[in-house]
Amino acid sequence: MDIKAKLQEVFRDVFDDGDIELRDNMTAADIEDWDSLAHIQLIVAAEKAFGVKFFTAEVSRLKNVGDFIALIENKL
Amino acid sequence: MLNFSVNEPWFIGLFLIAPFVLRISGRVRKIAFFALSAGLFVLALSSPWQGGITLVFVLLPWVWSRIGKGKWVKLPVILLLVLAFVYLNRYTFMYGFLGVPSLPFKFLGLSYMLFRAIDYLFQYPYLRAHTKAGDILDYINYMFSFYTLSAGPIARFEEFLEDFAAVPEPLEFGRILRLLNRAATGFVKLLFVAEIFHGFAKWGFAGLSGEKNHAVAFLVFAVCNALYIYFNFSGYCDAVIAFAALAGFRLPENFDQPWLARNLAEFWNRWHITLSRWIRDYVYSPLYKFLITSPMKNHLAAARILALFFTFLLAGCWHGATVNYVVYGLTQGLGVAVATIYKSALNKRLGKKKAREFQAKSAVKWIERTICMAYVCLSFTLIGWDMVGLL
Repeated sequence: MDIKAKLQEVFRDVFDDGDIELRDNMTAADIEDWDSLAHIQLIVAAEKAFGVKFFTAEVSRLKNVGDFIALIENKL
Repeated sequence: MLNFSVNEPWFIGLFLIAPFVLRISGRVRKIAFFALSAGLFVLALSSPWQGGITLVFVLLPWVWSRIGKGKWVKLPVILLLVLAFVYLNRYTFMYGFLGVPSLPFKFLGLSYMLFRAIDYLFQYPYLRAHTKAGDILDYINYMFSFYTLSAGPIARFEEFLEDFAAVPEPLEFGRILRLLNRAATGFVKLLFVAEIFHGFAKWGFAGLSGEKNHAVAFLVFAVCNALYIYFNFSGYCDAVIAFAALAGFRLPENFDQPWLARNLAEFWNRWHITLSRWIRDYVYSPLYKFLITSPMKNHLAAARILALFFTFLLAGCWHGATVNYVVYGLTQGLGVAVATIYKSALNKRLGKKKAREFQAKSAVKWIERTICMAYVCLSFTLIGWDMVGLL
């Protein structure tokens, strides 16, 4: 499974919404429940799913899903 | 001693001259900015001790970030900065029982320096790895920028560096007029509108200790006090952001129509935005992450509420050095926690789709906004006024 597909599973799980389809330019504005609170759950779930650790400075500068995928790619 | 306040005539003069001096690029701009910011800070000092202590406070994180390595190495220095801040900003209710005397002078802009220093400590390892950590002049300029020294907005170090390195946007006539218009609007808000509401708030506050009409007095006090704080702070931000833009600096926005907020969580995304962003990234997120990965991993909702209360408690304490601000922080935490519980209860009861439809109704929108603003006004009565003697 590629990173995007795996991350999509993480999103679907965190937001409890099986219809989410990830796009690189997707931002928090595109998913209704994606607030700052859900964002942390997303980060923790992604860390678990990919077996990586993100730093505060990395997480705070993510602008969209594409950035998130690039960050995971760099860590793997 | 210079009074470091944006409504001082010398400050307005400086704002008008700065675009002619600072609209240059490269190292000269950096040096000119340093000379202006550092010079003004020195002129505003009330004692050489104040300058020396501030310099140690500011340079400690810079030196430490270069010496220490490893994930946890910034924790001791953050703790040290916070303890120094508590003492230097005279949080006597926290240390008074120790019998330690406070220093006889106040520190200019220390609250904002603390936030910038912590931001730098978190950002430095990442920026160094990407060879864009800047030099000591960049750091000093970030910490002492005369535009934001006294009351923000809180820019991030990386944003500041990128903005400083960028070629300033050209100033065509229309843009100059728009920026001057925004600055003038800011001053009208700050010097006239805010002062009118301040007068009414004072009248209401005085009425609370009178014989009659307590309800009317409290209503006037609560509403006018919140309006005073809004016009004062947003007026200041308008002026500073516009004047900085004239000199080619882009400062982050701090307000986004806060009266449209439908709950406290949304309110804090529209009010003092740079503070909300900072506490979200450096207090709430690490704490919530810690809680849901170990001690409370099966209790997400409880972890969220605990992290919210703790975050807003700290934010409240940061705003001022009295017990009022502790209670104020807790009321904000309570408001955001209620907003979170309300949203998940609505989704549970109606389902996500119907909950969305329900919240799209105009009546619901306005009821939520009214309740939110009433709560904001009520909780803001704790800021700047000592209600303790009256309750």
